[in-house]
Amino acid sequence: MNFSKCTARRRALATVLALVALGGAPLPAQSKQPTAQEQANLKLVMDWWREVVFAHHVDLAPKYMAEDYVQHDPNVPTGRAAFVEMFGKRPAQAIPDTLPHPPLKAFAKGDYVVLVWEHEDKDPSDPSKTYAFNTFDVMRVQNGKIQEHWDSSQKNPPQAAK
Amino acid sequence: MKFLLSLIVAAAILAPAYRLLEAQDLKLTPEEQKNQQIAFVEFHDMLQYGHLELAEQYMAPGYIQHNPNVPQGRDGFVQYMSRLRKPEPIQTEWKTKPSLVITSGDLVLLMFDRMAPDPADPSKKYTYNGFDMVRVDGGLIQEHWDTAKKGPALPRRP
Repeated sequence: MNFSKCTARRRALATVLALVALGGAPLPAQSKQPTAQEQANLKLVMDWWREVVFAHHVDLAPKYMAEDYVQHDPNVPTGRAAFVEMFGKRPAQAIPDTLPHPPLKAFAKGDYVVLVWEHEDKDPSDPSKTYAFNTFDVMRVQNGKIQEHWDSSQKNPPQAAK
Repeated sequence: MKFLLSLIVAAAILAPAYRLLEAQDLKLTPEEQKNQQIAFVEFHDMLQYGHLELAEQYMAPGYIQHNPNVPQGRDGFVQYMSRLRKPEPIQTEWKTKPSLVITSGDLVLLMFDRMAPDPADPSKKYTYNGFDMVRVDGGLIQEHWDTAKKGPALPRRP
C-alpha cells in the first residue's frame, strides 16, 4: 500500500469537497471591486511611490509614511527618518504625472497594497538577448500612513572601502 | 445533506492545514477563498510535499510561467519539479509557512521569509523575503510569477 499516494488522494478529495462546499453554496455578490478604503490605500501608495520613492521628494515623506515605519528591505534602515536620510542623498527630480515604468500589477486588499514589477536584464547565457523577471513590494497601511514595507531585495555585497 | 456533510468533512480535514491567516482578516469573498485554497494546493501539496500528480487537476495545461528558469506549461512545470521533489505523505503543517498571504480576486500572493549568509559577514545570516504569485481562474492555476532571475549558463557537458 502506497501511503503517500493514499494521503494525497485523501487530501485531493478533501480539497474537492471544500471547493464543492464553497462553490456549491449560493454565492453572495462578488466584491471583486476594491472597497473605498482599499482604493484610498492604493492611491496613497502610488502617490508616495511617484513623489518620494521615484522623484526623491523626501520632504513629502511625513505625508505618506508613519514615523515608526517598519522596513524589511535589508539594504534600507528601518524608520521614516532613516529612509529620508538615505533617499534624501539622491537628487530630487520633477514629479511625473505617471510613473515612466509602471507596475505590472497593483492592487489593494485589506490593509495591504501589492506592487509587482517587470524588469529586463541581459540573458547570462546569451548577452545579445534580454529576458524578463519580476520583483515585488508589499506595503501595510495603518491610519492613513504607510506603516510597513517588504520587498524581494537581498543584501547588496559590501561596498569597496573608500 | 450532502452539502452539509461535505462542509463538515472539508472543515475537519482542511481547516487545520490552512487556517494560518486569521490575524490578517482580509475578508475574502467565497471566490477568493476558493482561489486561495487552489494556490495552496500548488505551494503546499505539490511543491512542499512533492505531489505533482495534483497538477493535472489544479493547473491549466497552458500554465504561463514567468520564472525564467522553469519551462512553460503544466507539463513543463511537472517535468522540471519532479526532478527536484519526491512525493511524501502530506502533513497538515507547511514545511515553510508563508509569512503573508494576500488574495485579491484571481491573484494570490504568498510571501516567505528566507535566510541567506550576510555578504558583509558570511558567518552571520539575515532574513529577506521571497514572493510567489499565481492567477487562478475557473478552478485552475493559470499563471505564476516569482522573483527568480536567470542563473549563469551551466557549463556544457564535454
